[in-house]
Amino acid sequence: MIHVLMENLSTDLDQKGLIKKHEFIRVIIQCLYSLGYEESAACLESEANVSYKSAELKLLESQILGANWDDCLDTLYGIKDLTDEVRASAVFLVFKQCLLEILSRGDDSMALSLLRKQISSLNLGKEKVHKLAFGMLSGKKMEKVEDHVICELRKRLLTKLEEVLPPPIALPERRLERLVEMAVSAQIDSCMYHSSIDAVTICEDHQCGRDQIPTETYQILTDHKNEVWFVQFSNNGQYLASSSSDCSAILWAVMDDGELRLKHTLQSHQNPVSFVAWSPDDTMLLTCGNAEVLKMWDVETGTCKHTFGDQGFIVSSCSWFPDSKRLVCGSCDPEKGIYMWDTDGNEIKAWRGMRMPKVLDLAVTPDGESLITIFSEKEIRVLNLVTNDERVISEEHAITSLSVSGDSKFLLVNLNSQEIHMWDIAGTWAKPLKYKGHMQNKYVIRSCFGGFNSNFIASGSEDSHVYIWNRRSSDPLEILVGHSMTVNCVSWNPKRPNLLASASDDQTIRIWGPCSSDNRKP
Amino acid sequence: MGRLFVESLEGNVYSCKHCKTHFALLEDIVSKAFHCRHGKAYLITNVVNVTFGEKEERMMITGMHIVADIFCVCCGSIVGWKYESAYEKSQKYKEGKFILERFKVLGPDGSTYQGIPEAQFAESDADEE
Repeated sequence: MIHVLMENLSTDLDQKGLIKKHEFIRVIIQCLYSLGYEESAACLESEANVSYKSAELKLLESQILGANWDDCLDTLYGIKDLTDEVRASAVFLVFKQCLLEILSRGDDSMALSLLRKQISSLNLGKEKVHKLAFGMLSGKKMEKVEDHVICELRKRLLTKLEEVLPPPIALPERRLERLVEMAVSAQIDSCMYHSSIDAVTICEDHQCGRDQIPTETYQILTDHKNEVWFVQFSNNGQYLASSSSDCSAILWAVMDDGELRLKHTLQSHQNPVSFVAWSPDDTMLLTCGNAEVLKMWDVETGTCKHTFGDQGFIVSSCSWFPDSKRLVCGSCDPEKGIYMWDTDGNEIKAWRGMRMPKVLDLAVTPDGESLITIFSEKEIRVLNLVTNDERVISEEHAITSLSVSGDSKFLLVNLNSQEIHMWDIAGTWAKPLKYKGHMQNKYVIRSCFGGFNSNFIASGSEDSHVYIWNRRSSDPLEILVGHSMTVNCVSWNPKRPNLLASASDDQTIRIWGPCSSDNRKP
Repeated sequence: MGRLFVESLEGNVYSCKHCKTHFALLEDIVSKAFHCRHGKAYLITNVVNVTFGEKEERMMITGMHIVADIFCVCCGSIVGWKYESAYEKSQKYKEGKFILERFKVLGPDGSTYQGIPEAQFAESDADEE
């Protein structure tokens, strides 16, 4: 019954036989209409002998515009392949219009009988019927509705029917645009190096090249006198902090062309410094070590502002709250516990005692909502600071380090079984996403999120290379060769997606940028 | 934390004689009746804080095996080996498990073991049970 006109046009468009020619043309016609090119659309309809509106829809159109309600209902009931629900909705829409017109003519009794007999038999649910009845009875006498308004309303009814009825009787709106969007999204999804912010061109298949990812060494910083254990870019991307087993930390400034210059050397610790943390406003830096106390430094002047706790107060890791006024630190020895301080040195809160397990690493999410702690090697505890709810994720192997994504949604842990696991902080995942390929057996190796849209993960490795993954795939995307000994830590510049820093036991820090030679500005 | 990642165990722990790094728990011992060059050795299901040497074939009293030596992660001293695979079917139960030489570790009470002079024993792992 349906495609009488179109039978002789059902040749396929492409070799695979995926696309039917008449459907393709129909979709193009819809697009032309929706863009406002009605003449072109009509022209295409006649030239290709393809009608945009299906036969049923045309029939319904003439019946509605001519107010042949009985015929209209017959057509609706006559269409096969409609679910009862859809048919009922369509019929209801027609009835509503019909009722409106009867009421505007003043024929109340007919309206009432229509309501009683026909509509209630539709099984639509009492609410709809009651609403309609209420509207009918609630009021003032309905005024006569102008003819041209009735015409408008009938056209609107047709549009609504088009939305309700399924293909091929009616097409979903914007069908062609939607198909193109799906194709482009699929291409972007499969683009492993995807790093461009600009809208993708549909003139060619989208594929980012690896020239957007940092893959080459641009600078080697040799100012540390011993193994470099930690690096991190500031939140604004303008500075880099590094710490070393030479008991110092160094602040570097990032120049416009991506070059790094030494700004301050922070010397005051007696033992190796293994951890630094930038305040969210980048004015202060915290440093601590696995056998060291916690110190706070002013970034601008390079002077030590405060030392927390007393001599024996060992802090293994620390993190700031978003207000840059409060910080939290974890201790693995001797007084186990977690302490919260303000920048003046006052203790705000403490979780301590004999039952407190060792704190290996901790972090506050950038939005300040959650405190994530790594306890006794295999436990990740997520504490919601607002609701005080606590959640525990148990890993099977020991965790050596923790890092959190910039959007506060994901966390990354390095396990000494040579896997990196990503979990969601909200707690909806049953299993983690896993990343492999690097080497990690003995040392604390750190990883981080980064790159365009935080789409990538980078990690150090005991084989002296830097590993980069696209978050979607568990095999490495790039392996950066250059260091001569274990790479302990990596940091991706949050404001410059193709600038990466790595810290190694070979006493150097390497700055990595994109590979194309005229792209010197990372 | 710190760069070298050292796990700590709770309970009755066997640790390195030289640097006291934890290796294994008493409850993970499968058998105490093994022997090695220095005397007593234990068969254990799980060991932490060790690094592995190359896999190699070794002839033991009980037959040919493929083993990898294990070393303390902190001080590097050799403390035993891991059974990667066994050729004889009756020896398969050892696969994936570890041998810890009693001479190289401190017991849960901190005690040491004097060991046996090297001369008499070839490297062996005869199970007396």
